[in-house]
Amino acid sequence: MSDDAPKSTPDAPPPILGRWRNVYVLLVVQLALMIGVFAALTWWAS
Amino acid sequence: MGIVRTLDWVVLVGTILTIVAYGAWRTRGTRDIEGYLKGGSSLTWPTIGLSVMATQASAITFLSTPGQAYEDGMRFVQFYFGLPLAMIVISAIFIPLYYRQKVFTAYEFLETRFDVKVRCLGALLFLVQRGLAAGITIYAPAIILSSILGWSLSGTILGIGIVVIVYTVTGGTKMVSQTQKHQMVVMMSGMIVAAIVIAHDLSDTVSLPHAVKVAGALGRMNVIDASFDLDNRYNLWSGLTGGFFLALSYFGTDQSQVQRYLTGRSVTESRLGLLFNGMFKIPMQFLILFIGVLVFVFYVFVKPPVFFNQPTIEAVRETSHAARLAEVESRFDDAFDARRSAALAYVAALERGGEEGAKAALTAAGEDVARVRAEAKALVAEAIPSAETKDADYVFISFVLGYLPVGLVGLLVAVILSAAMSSTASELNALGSTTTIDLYRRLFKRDASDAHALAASKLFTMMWGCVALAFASFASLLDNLIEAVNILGSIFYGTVLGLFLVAFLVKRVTATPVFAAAVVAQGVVVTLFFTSSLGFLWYNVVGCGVVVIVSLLLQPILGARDTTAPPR
Repeated sequence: MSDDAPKSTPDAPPPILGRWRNVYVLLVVQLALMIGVFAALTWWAS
Repeated sequence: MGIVRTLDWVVLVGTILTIVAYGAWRTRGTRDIEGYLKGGSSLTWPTIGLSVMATQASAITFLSTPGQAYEDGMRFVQFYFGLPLAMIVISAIFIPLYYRQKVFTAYEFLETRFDVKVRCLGALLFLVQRGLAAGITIYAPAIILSSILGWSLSGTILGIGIVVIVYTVTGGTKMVSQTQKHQMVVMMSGMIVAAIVIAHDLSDTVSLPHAVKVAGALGRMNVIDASFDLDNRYNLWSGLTGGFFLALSYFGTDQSQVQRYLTGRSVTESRLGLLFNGMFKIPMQFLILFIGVLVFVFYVFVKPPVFFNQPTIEAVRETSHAARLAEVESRFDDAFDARRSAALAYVAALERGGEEGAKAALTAAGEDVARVRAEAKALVAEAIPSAETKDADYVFISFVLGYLPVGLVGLLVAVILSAAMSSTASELNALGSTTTIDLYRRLFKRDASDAHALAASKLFTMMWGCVALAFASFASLLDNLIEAVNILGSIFYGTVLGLFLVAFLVKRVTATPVFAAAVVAQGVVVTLFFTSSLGFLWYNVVGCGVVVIVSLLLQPILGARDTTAPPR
């Protein structure tokens, strides 16, 4: 994405996610999944 | 030492100069204070996100982190678990407020909420800790690169420092962000290529899954530690809570980060840039630590030196302890051979089943190697009392120089220098901005024109660059470089975060109680640092908590003195 691209709407989240709350939930879910995968990796490797 | 060959030099110098030249071309013509300090509020989220990540990823990240995994395993990744949560809070609460107030610096906001003394206190705490950290940011890679590559230490410090000072002073915030975007791409490309090459080299001896199992048997795959222990620096709970407060303070109130996302063309761009960081920071740190684990497994099968800081070990050979060193090295060779045989037996057992006995033998052999290495470190300390006995910071660079192909060595040295320059540039940029906006223009020259403020900002940025160079020139190697920076940050961040949390969330507290509470909190944290064994991540929680609680307690006593209007 170029820095010379047209200005985005001042406070709109990415259209595919609809609301900012959904973006935040996505991030929390990603964190939970990573911790889960890391825990499984720790258990498997030890 | 002719370790860096001609092709490496071409890659190294070409990479660094191309990035700086491109950044200068993209940001030519910045002539006003808005453009200089906020990049003309024109940047989009990919640039902001990469710039935020590059600011945090210093050379220490790439030198120290793989070495930390080599010594201590993967558990350091838990330190970053609170970061995505902090990105959410900053995105939802901090960014809209900063945009509404149209501030140049985070501390400007404190005056709109409290008064000028609270703003100056926040700015001063930032200047003290970031001014010191900027010196470490330059010094840390310089001491290691100069030692390993045979470069002059003062020449390396000056080389890194002068390039950064020139482009930061001339181009300002937009130049910093533009160069960081490309520096970050170089850093991640270099590390991914390094990971692939190491995994490929290992594949002659052991498959990747078996390499991970070997690392696990030797205690290096401790990614998650769910035990609750306040003295344990890195576990799931300290990462989620202490890491959350540290990230909230660092990204939400440290001007070197706030300045990165205030360059956004809208609230949306700034939010997306920070959330990009929240999404990719943990995978990035995992990759860097995992490279350290792969290097560890590589050295399970290929004999490593007993001590990675080769110039120091060579110095020990010149002392009366040379015979004892030879004896320790001989025992290290035996311990290494035993561990290598045990590892091969474990890998064979993994393929045919019944691996428990082989695993126990490998773990015991690993403990023997660790014991002899500890003896070697003790011998170094005895032979040269002033020597640094922790060699973790030398592990990765030694491996790069010894085993990676020509050209890639140059790229990885470019990664380390790019990281040093990107984080130093943000620091100098923020130190210059804060000195100009929060102190000079606020306290001494309120009627300064934009042109005057722009000139002052360039002058202060250069001054801080010189301070960082002076500090780097006189610093001595600290215990672990990345920890040193994080500990230094944690001593101050909790208090600053407390100021901002009270500003955002506790509406009835006014200026004088929160100012007094911040002074008390800073005293408590400094006392804890000198007198307790509390893990440093908890300083953030303590500092922040003391500010919030003491300001609430003092409000009925001191609040009546404040004449400032109650918060909006």
